[in-house]
Amino acid sequence: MNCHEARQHWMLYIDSEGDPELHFRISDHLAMCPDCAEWFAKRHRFEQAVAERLAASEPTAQLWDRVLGKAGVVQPAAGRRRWLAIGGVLAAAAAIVLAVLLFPKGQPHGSELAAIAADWHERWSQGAMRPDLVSQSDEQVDRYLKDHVPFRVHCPPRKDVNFAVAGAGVRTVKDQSAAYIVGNVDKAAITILVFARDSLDAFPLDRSHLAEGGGRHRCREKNYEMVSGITADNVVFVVGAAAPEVLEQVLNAYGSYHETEGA
Amino acid sequence: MTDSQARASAFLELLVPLRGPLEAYCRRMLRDRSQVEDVIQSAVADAFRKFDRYAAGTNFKAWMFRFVTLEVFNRNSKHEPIVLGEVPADLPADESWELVLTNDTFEAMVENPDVLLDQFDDVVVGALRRLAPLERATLLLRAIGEFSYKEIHELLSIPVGSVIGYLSRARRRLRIALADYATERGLYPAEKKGPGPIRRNGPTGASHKLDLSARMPVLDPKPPGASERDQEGGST
Repeated sequence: MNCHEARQHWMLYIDSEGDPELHFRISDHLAMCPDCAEWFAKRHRFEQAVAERLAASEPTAQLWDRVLGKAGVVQPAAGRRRWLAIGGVLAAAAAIVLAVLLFPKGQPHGSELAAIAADWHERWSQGAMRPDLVSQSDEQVDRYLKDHVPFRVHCPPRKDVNFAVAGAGVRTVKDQSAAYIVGNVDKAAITILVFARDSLDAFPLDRSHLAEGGGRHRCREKNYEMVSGITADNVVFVVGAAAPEVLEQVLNAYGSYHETEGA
Repeated sequence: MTDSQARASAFLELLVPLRGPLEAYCRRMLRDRSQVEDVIQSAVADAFRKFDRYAAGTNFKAWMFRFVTLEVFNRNSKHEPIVLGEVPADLPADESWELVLTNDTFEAMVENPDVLLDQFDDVVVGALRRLAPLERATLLLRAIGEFSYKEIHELLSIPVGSVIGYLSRARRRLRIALADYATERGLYPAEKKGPGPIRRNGPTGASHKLDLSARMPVLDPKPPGASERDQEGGST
């Protein structure tokens, strides 16, 4: 077998497919031809690297929880369901009482999504919740979100507003997928919560708030400032311990980054 | 434990290790990524309904991937009907190696793939989209599912020769897309021996048309398993 014949069958060889006799002949040739041996090794490494990139993906826990539940593979026990329902009612009642106590009349506060955003931010900033992806790489977070979020989501706002990303993840709220990005601006912890724009149909109160503010809304939830807005694709909540102006800058950067980049 | 719980438990035990590969495969295969959860949901529900027909000890991975593949083809068919075109007659002969001899960017890319692969997702989404459905399927079943040619032949109900042809062409097209991307962005600064044009044409040998229609249940809009057992992946 000469170099031409050996290289012609490189794919079968590196895939360990085809006629065993062909493999033996190629192996014999490679043993005697260092150029071809190196050539095959490079191709093999390259194909392996491509395959690894194609395959790289961790299962999305929330997605599979929903899938297995809906498919009837996993069914919560009746008793557990009942206790979950009772727990949910009690939690909702407690949340209402807390909301009344924490927010005096006249103070601008948000609505359902704003409360959720504040809750998530608090859990993360106090160390009670770890993001699905912990990363300080904008590119890694961007890639993760593109791979795991079922709607268009922009990459985290980057250096233009001093936002240093710390992680990201995906959650579900009232059957609506939501992406979150966590990070810091000048050591102030900030959470960005992102929904698909059409998710607002499930949250009529938030929709009316945003509509009243011309697509923008400022409020205070728990002890955190928050700004929210509607972009071309998303509804975005930015919450944190920073001044509202800083949060506003993050929100502006979120909405404009990809347009600037042309992505 | 009741029978239904034992059945669910057995199904789950086999499915759990496949969640990552199945999800990755689905994301890469679907033209509309917002359908990933719907497709996995339909495929898993269908497979679970028919789990009684799965023969214990046989290839569950191929069985499960088949449900997902059929569901993906059905969803994608709105955008890209499967056209069973010409498959090169000289299937094992992959001319793409000639590309390597004539293109410096490709050579540099193979030498140091990390430079390019760091930006892999940016280019691969578009490149995969441009592949024909069966090219994309064979490439991803091999790369993500790590299936043998024979398993892919059973999974897609196409001859082994066609698997080789589709896989060869898919790899070549993907490499060309990657090389084009690297060239456009100057990822591999030239230390050239001379510019070599990338070959874009397929093998130049004679080709023949394969009549695969009779073997392609994927074109059937009915859900998998609606007909005979073999078509449900039970034989895999």
